[in-house]
Amino acid sequence: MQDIEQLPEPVDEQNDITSQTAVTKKDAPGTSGLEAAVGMSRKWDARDAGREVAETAIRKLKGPPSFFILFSTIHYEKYGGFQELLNGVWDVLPKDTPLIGGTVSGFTNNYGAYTRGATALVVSSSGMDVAIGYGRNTKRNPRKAAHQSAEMIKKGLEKSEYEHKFLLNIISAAEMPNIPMIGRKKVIRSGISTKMLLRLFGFSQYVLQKGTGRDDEVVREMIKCFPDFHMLGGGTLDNGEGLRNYQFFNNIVLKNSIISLGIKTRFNFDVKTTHNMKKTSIDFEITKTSKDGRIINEINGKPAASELLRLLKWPEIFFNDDTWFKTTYYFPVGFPIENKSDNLGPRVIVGIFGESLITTIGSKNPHASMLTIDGRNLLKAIDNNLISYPNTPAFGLIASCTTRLETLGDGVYKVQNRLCEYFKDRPFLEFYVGGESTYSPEKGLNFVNMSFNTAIFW
Amino acid sequence: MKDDPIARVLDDLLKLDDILACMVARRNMISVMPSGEGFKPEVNNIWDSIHRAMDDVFGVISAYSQIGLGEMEFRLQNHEVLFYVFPDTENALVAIVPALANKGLLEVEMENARREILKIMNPGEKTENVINR
Repeated sequence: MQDIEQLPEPVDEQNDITSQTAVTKKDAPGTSGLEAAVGMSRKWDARDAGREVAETAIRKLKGPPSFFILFSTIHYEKYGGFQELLNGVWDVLPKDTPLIGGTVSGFTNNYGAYTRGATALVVSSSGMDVAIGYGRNTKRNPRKAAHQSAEMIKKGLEKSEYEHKFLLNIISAAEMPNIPMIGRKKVIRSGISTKMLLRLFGFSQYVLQKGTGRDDEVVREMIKCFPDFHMLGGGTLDNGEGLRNYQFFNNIVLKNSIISLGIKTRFNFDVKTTHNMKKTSIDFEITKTSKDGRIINEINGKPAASELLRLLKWPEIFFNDDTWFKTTYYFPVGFPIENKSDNLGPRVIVGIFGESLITTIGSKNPHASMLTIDGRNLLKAIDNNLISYPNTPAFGLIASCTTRLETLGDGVYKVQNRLCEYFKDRPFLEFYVGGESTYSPEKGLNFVNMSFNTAIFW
Repeated sequence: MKDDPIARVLDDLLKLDDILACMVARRNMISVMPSGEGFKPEVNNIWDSIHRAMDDVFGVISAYSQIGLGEMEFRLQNHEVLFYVFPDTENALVAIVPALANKGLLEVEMENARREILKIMNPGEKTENVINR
């Protein structure tokens, strides 16, 4: 970490180990008129944390903030609540600053890696127009939610004449289904028929909005609305329990929503997804899925769950509600991205209901392979990603899969070290999400699990 | 104890739901504990067994910390005990967590706590230098 500057006294004396620091970028060549900074707080009290994260982010800006992106871990739910977190931010943030954000499982920035706290990235620039939007009920009607948000963005940017277009989409990710009579479980192998389970799952998904995020559907709809934009996206989370997550839009706390930040600017940027998963020799055909391709019912013409066990030579005990995520994170199902058979993207099996495998990404392509990865290749995905960018970034936003954080553990500091080496004193914010994506007109949509997704401005 | 900055770091760790107990310790000695009410009640039944096992682990730590032993852990019944060693010493930050906790997320905050404690113990030295050497 470089050139960290001490701030004056904290808001009040509290039992915390807050990083009272701010990093600001100096204008890079070609980015005159663009300032960015990262703020953070480790305070426990939601209001105090909100104030501090805003204060540490904006105090180094010379101009007024053009937008403010806020991420926090779920802990503030118990320490004042997210409304208080936002109230704290607005105690400090200039009125009318566009603010978006949500809850994440963790984050890295110029200061370190954290799974508790709040962080923000703020940008001030005279060379961009900004609009924010939101749409509700993403799990029930993703198309409608996307259009609600898209309309607000279109209206907000309609007079902008800048050529380069960027969209950040923050979408409520999957929440554990709450199935009547059964409750919240990832693995239900017996006691009730698969057909009945899937019906009850549908009730949970559409009525209670507890189920898959359907964030891939939201993103596809946003692409239809903005085909010439570059996009970065990720799903909001809690601390791995998958029970609840929240989105922030100005001073409002939302659930089951998409929040978008639209930017038209004269500055340059690009987006890129890398995951570095390795294909195993276990190939198979997905022969029956749900209508949306998200639920795999049959593999090789046989009931999916039993056939998966046979292919992987796993004992039945591996299908265990307590340890399932730890198992599946290392062996996601590879599916052809945009139907390109040489480009397999990982999707995680988030639930096993009877013989059906529940995934978070819909795919109707029958060809599939098991993928796998280790720690070294998780890190190499970062090198593979950053190598394509210029050496002098202005700032970066990175949507990284929570599975990367959960499997690397404290090894995530190796990620932070790599990012610090690349960004040097330029602000960056990597937020850990579920269901992350990038889109560009040239590269198309990459919506996968277990990936590293960058949007870097220069 | 309340004014001990290391105890304050431990207080923060203990606020995390899945940290059932934490301390800075070495063989046969707990040097610093959280300043508040101590450990969470879930640990009480198994504490004697864990404490005995910890002392054996500290034997290994004292033998190998000088050559770069950084972390250790063991599982006893339904609990896991994580040791984050302070480089070149016989001391470690220790936490007891449920066996099925989301250990990846907890490890990040364990590492942050270790770094904070190292800063307190070595105020003039860059934490990264201490961790990486």
